[in-house]
Formats: sequence, C-alpha cells, structure tokens
Amino acid sequence: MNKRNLFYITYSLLVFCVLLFLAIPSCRNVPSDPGRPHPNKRPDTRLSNLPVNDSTGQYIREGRIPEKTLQWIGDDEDGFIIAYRVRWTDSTQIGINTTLWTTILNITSLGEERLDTLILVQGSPASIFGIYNFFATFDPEPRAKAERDRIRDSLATGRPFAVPYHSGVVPGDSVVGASPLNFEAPTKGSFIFASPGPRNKHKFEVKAIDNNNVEDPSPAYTYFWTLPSDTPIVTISIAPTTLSYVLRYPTEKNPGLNFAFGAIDPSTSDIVFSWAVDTLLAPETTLRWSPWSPEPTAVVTALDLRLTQTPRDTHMFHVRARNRWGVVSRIVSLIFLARVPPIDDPSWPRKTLIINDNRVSGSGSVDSNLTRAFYSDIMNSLMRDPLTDTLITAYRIWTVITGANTSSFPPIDTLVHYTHVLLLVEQPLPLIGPEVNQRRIETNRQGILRRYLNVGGNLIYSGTPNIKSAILPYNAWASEIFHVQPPPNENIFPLQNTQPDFVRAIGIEGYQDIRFDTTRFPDSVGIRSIAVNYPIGFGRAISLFDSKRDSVGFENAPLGVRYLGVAIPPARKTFSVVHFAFPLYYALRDDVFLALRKAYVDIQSGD
Amino acid sequence: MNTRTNLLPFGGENTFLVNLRSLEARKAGDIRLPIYANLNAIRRNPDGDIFNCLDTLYWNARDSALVLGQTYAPPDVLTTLDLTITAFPFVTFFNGFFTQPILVEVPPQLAALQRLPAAGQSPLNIKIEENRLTRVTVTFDLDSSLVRKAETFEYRPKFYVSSVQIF
Repeated sequence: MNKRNLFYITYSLLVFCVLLFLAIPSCRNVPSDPGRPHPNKRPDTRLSNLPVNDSTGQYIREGRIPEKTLQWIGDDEDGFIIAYRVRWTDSTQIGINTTLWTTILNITSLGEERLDTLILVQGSPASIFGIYNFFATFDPEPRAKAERDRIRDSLATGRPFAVPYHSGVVPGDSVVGASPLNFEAPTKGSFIFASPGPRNKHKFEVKAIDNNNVEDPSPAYTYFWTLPSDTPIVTISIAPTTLSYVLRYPTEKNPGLNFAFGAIDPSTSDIVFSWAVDTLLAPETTLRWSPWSPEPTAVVTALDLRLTQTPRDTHMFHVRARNRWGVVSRIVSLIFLARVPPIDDPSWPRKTLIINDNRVSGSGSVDSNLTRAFYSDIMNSLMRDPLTDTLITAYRIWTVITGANTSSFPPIDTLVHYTHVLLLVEQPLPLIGPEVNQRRIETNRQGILRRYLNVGGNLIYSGTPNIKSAILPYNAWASEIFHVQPPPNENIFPLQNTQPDFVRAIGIEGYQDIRFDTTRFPDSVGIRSIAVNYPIGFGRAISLFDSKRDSVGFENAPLGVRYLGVAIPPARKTFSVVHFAFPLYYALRDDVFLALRKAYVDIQSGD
Repeated sequence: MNTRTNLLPFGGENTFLVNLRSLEARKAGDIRLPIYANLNAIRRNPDGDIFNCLDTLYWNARDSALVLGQTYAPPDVLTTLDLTITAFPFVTFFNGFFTQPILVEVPPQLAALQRLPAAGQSPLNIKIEENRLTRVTVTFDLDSSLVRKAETFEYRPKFYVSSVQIF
C-alpha cells in the first residue's frame, strides 16, 4: 500500500468518525424501539391580551367599569386542546377570595351546527376527554336532529344535566350551558371582578387540558387592578297616597298596592331591584327582601305587612337597586298607610249590616222603627233557619237619617266589619229639598260601597222606585255593580213603568214569587216607577215583572238580577250583588224571608 | 267535547268559536301525517277551519260528531297528534233575553300548538290497520278550558285523546 492510498483511507476514516460523532446526539432521542408510543407532552397556555395594570389610565379609559374581557390560547405538540380551566383571585378590602376552577370545553359546534351556548363541565369528572369526545363526534345527520335540539335546549336553560351518553348516564359526568355574557368563545371570556374598594387587585389564571386529560402544570396568569363603579340612585315614582285596604291574596277587584320605582346609573342600564315592607320601627336586618328582579314595580299585599305599631296602619316600603357590577344602592324608603279589612279573614263571623235609607217623614214615608221591626223579624228568622244560621250570625241596623237635616252613611271602616250589607232604599226621593242630598246614593257613597265590594263585601239591594234619581250617577253603577244594562234613551225604550202596574215579582232561578202586602203600601196608589233590568255579563235575572195589564215591554221582562263573584283560591271571592229592584218592605213577610234566604245561599255558594 | 256547566250551556245561540289551522299525526322518527278536512281535500283551508264548540246542530261537537279531519294512512302505529288551534277572543250566549258577548282572555304567551299527549305522558298508541277505520276522539274540556274570572273568561286549553276505536 503506497502513501497516497494510506492517506485516502485515513482521511475517509477520519471523516467517518466525525460524521459518526455528529450523528450520535441526534440519535439519542430515537427510542430504542420506534414501535412504542411516545410519552405525552404537556399542553401550554398563554394569555393573548393582558389588561393594563394601570388603574388611573383604566379609570380614564373605561369609566370605572370592573368588567374585563380576556383571551387565551393553548397548544399541544402531540395532540389537541379539549378544554380550558379558568379562575381568579380577588384581593379587596373585604379579603382575599379565589373562585373555583371553571372548565369550558373547546367545542363551538354540535353535529356541525354552531352552538349558541357553550359547554361548561361540572365538578371533576374522571375523564374530561370522554365528555369532550361525546359532543365533538356527535352525529351530524338529520336522524339525530331531535337529540341535537334537546341538548341545545338543555344548554340554553342554564341548568346542569347529565351527559346523555348512548350507553347510559355516567355518574359525575354532567355539563351546563355557559352564560353568553361570560363566554363568547372557549378562548374568550368577560368577567366582572369584585370591586368594593378604591383599589382592587385581581389575579386571573387559565390552563389548557389536552386530549390525554393532562392539564398545563403552569397556568398562564396576569395581575390587574379595578376601581369600584358608581352607585345606582333609586327613586320611588308611584305609591299609594291615601289609606288603602289591602287583602292577603290579590283579586281582580283588589290586586294589591302598586309601587313603581327606578334607578339611574351612569355606568350601566343593567339594574335589578329588591324591595321589602316593614314597620317604622323594624331594624334593617329584619327586612324580608324580595329576590333581585329587573321588574321596576312591586305589588304589596296584606301578607307583606307586619304587625303595625303606632301610629296605626303605618307601614314603610323599602327598595334598593344593584347594578351589573354588584354594587348595591342606598335603601330608599317611603311611608304609606294600609289596613287589612276584617272580612278578609276567612274565619271572620258572618255579619250583616242593614243600612236603612228609608224616609222617616213626609208623604209615603216609613217610620224607621217600622222598618227596623220588619227586618229584625226576618233576620232573626234567618239566623234560626238551618240553611242560613251560619251565614247570618249577627246583624245591625244602621239608620242613615238620625236627626233633622243630618245624615250619616256608614263609613268604609264600619262596612268592612260586615260580610254582607243589606241596603234599603225603598222609597222614591222627593224632587227637591234637603232630604234629596241626605239620602241619595251619590258619588261619595257609591265610592264607599265600591271600596267595600272590592275588598270582598257582598251587597243585597232592596228598592227603589225611580231608581235613577236615588242612585246618581246611575249608569256606571248599573253596569259595574248591578250588572244590568244602563238605561238607553228613555223616550224610545222606556224601562221604568210609571203606572201602578207592578203586581208581583215572578221568581226564576230558584227564587220564589214575591207578592205584595197591600196593607203596607205607602198610599192608595201602590208601587210605581219600577224599572225592568236586563242583565249583562255574568248577571242573571232572578225575577220577572208581572204587569197587571200585561204591558208590552214589561210583562215577563227581567226585574231582579243577581251577580255572583268568582272564587279565588285560597278562600277568597270577588263581590256578589243581589238586586231585587223593588222595595221588599212592601212585600209579604214570608215571601221576603224566602227571597233573602235564597240570596244569602246564592252569595255563599258563588258562581 | 265535554258538557258545560249552566254558565255556558250548549245549543241555542251560544257560540264559542275556535279556528283549527292544522292537524297532524306523528310517529317515531318525526314522521308526520297531515290530516285534512275530508278524504278529497288536498290541503287544509289556509285561513283555518272555524267551529262553534257549543253548537248542537251543524257541528254537533257535544255528541262527538264534529269531524276535525280524515285521511288515508298506511298500516302503522301513530304516537302523537298535533293540533294548531286558536280560540276567538269572545263567547256569545243567550241570557234568556238577548245574546251578548263576553270577552275571552287569551294569554299572550299561549302557543297555538296543542300536542297530544301532553309532555310527561306516555305516547298514544293509535294503530292503523289495513282495510279498517281508526277513529280518534279528541275531547276539548270546556269546563277546564274556559275559566271564569270576575267579568271575563280566561282561555286555558285542555285537550286530550279520550278514545281510539278501530272498526
């Protein structure tokens, strides 16, 4: 071998050794057995936008709104990201609080249909990948549309539900829909950070989870500050201004006491309210606040009232507001007067107030003592009668005219102690004179009776010849209380028989006929100016006009009308009215007894 | 149709109108079978078919003689009936002296679709057999559907399948 060949061989060996030296490190990572799986690589997480750690700049730019939008992203070299976990820590003047980890799946569609509500995983299931895989590989075909719709609906409710695996429910695997206000995407969220003090520090953390259920051991995090937002300013715009009667449970006629309120907040219009009712003397801690609600109104019933102390019937309404950032306003309070009528208590005894509005002097008058004796006798019989002995346990006769030129109609506070009112307006009013104003059921007295009826009272009416002058104004009263058609043009459709043509009331709907006792007629002429009454709405005729001369328009026309209230659970009814439409005082005593007995039974049974 | 209380009796000039806009039977797999007014119809009236629930002469709903629809169907088992039906906002009844209207309040959020059976109940088992007639009777419970309030009625529809007969 010559020197040249030896040089080439040595040179080649040298190059080979150099190459071998360089190749060995790169082969170090090659597994000795390439057929075995690689060890999993942990995912990596980053925050892609960092809030400015500058409270002054933040105050200027963002107007003291403690809500932040953060974005993050995760990578996995040997797989993919199936979920993210987020939490934050608030360091405020109140203390340090760290939220629990919230897990959101990295899924934005279900069976190739975009999800309106993203998916949060509840608790700590054994395998997040199992849950992820169920949703990520959901059947996109039309045959699975019904199931897809059910899942989307369940997510939209915001209530947790078990993952509906086809093989059956796995305990611990449950999900819930994410609020769109918080999570716009699996990598983007907006959160409100508690900011009670002048400077509030927060730490936000996020970590990715890969397809092997491995979490990033080093979550991405950031620190930032927030300032407290402004406090809402609350005002009460609508409230009762006078003493109001209120029931335990609302009815159509008495829905409760209405309050309306509002709030101003420069940072947001997202405001909810909470209200309470208490006495003047109750400390704030005993207030029973209603749940937070965006509704700017409140309806107060008797159940909301507490026992009052002095002054009587005085209560206080309180309201507060809370804005989107959790800042609660100062409490605003208002005094109002409210009273619960005794008859609202279902155990209240059945008592009748007989209001005697009959004349006591002048032509055709009936002495109040005679009226008292007539009706006392009948009421005493009703109290002994087995059908009505529990419906009438006591009665009182209130005579309206108590002296010359004086009159006293019972006030509302008296009426609400009686379950029934028997109103006697059985004689025609004179055309002129002071007695007209003293006895007429005018606006003020109609108001008292309406208030009584709207809290659940019942009215039985006896009378009246020439009723349109005795009850004035009449039309609204006729339709709303008596439930009869208001009189039309009397020149074309006379409803009032001005002749002494009325013989008796022919009973229908279970009522007996009512005949007259001519010995008690006010004069030799008899009863005149009785109007027929056509029922409207839920009114029902209970008697018919019997005309002596079979007068057209009157013979067998409806006379008395009954309107019965509707039962409202529990143990409430709206008002009932029985309108006899002619003076019972001039009828036979036994017929009046039967008529009143039927009226009481009808009122009790309702419609 | 159910019998009514004395409050709103059948017959006479009394009316409570409903508008049936569609009637479909369904089976598993969301397969739908439209049912039209009669066997010759190719569609239902686009304005719906109006019935008086209180009539006893022409529609005669009280005696279950009111036919909502008829169709031919292949032998199968149907599990659901869908009625799209709305009520008119008033009833009229004769109070012994004249006919008058009373308002019917329909809750604004009330859906027109009445799916039978109701949610939570077991599916219907309406068998369609070859060369045989299957008659499904749907009861409209008026006592429960028209709830009396102080001056009006409130409409709370209550439908259910009361019988399935095969002739």
